Amino acid sequence: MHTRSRSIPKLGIGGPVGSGKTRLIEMLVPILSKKGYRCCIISNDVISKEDAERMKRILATESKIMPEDMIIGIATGGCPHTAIREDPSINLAVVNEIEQKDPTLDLIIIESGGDNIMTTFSPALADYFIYIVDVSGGDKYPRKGGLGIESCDLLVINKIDLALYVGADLSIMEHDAKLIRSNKPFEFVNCKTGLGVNRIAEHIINDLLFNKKPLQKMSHK
Amino acid sequence: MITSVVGNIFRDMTLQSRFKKMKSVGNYERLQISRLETERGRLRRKTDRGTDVGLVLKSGTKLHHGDVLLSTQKKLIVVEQLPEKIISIRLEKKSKNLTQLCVIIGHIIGNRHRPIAVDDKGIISFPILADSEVDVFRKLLHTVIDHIELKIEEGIFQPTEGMDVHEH
Repeated sequence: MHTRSRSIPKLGIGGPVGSGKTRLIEMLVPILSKKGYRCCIISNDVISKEDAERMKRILATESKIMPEDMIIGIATGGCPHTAIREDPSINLAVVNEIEQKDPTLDLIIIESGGDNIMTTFSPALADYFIYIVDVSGGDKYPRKGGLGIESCDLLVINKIDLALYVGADLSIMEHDAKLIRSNKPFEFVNCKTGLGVNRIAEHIINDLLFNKKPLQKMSHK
Repeated sequence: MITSVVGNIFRDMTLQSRFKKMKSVGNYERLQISRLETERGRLRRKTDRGTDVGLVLKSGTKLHHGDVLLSTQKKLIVVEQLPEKIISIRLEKKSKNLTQLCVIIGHIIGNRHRPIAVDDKGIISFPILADSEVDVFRKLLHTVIDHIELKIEEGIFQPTEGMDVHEH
């Protein structure tokens, strides 16, 4: 039993409204959980706590992957980026509470409210930043750039199954993502079916968790 | 795994001479990161020679260009901040109302939420994402444009202490 809090690795997920942030978390957590990693989720929303409630239903009540109290909703009010960048104090306070409550967690996932392409996380809040867009916005993303698309650690392009229906050319998106992000990674996914989400989990385990084994597995050795 | 910074080659003369020595014998490795990444407490990257580096620094630690992350007999790993596009503004010293000029320029840059650096010659600089922003700033600064020299350059931007606000 740990008596002292530790700094738990923190993953920030940002992206426009409807791009699939919540769904990505719903697909990611079971994969990480299967590997033994224990997560907590903080879900920021502007007015409601709808996303947090949905995740509680899917990840706690229905699939029992994690306890309900490890999914925390924050209704931030105001512009979503203010709560994760300009003044992340509300999120930092919740992170602090979680670190005190359960220092054996492997990961804290912080979901931003839906925002614009300039979204970034305060480095005081997130150690690793995923920015997610979807093809239904058109294949001009990621060419249009913006801090979120350019500076994130991993760019995720979601809903590739819709490309055909909205006239988005994935090869253009791939070409532009390579160009605008230099050597930084990007992945195509379909969060509805889970296609490609395993690769996102691998990025997180490698680049944020440094390939460390889950804490509880280590302590049981 | 790196948990603390050894020192900085631009501030510590002993480290600087060691850096020169290690560089001359090819035992020097660069960890190239962006300005935004210098604020990270946790980061995994490879050096230019392929060494896998995991950084877990104390909360609030900020990396600087020239920070030494590892110093052993056989290896020296140094942070190299990647250059970026910067607009620099030089004030016309003969201008009648320098105070007014400074306030207007500060107000306009501040409204765009940019971090700034002011060097000892009074040159103001701030980062931009695209060359096209030069035209935007020329327009925004139109009332003072005759009293300043505005140019775009590429360099390592290091904000003046306390002026490294968020940007978007």
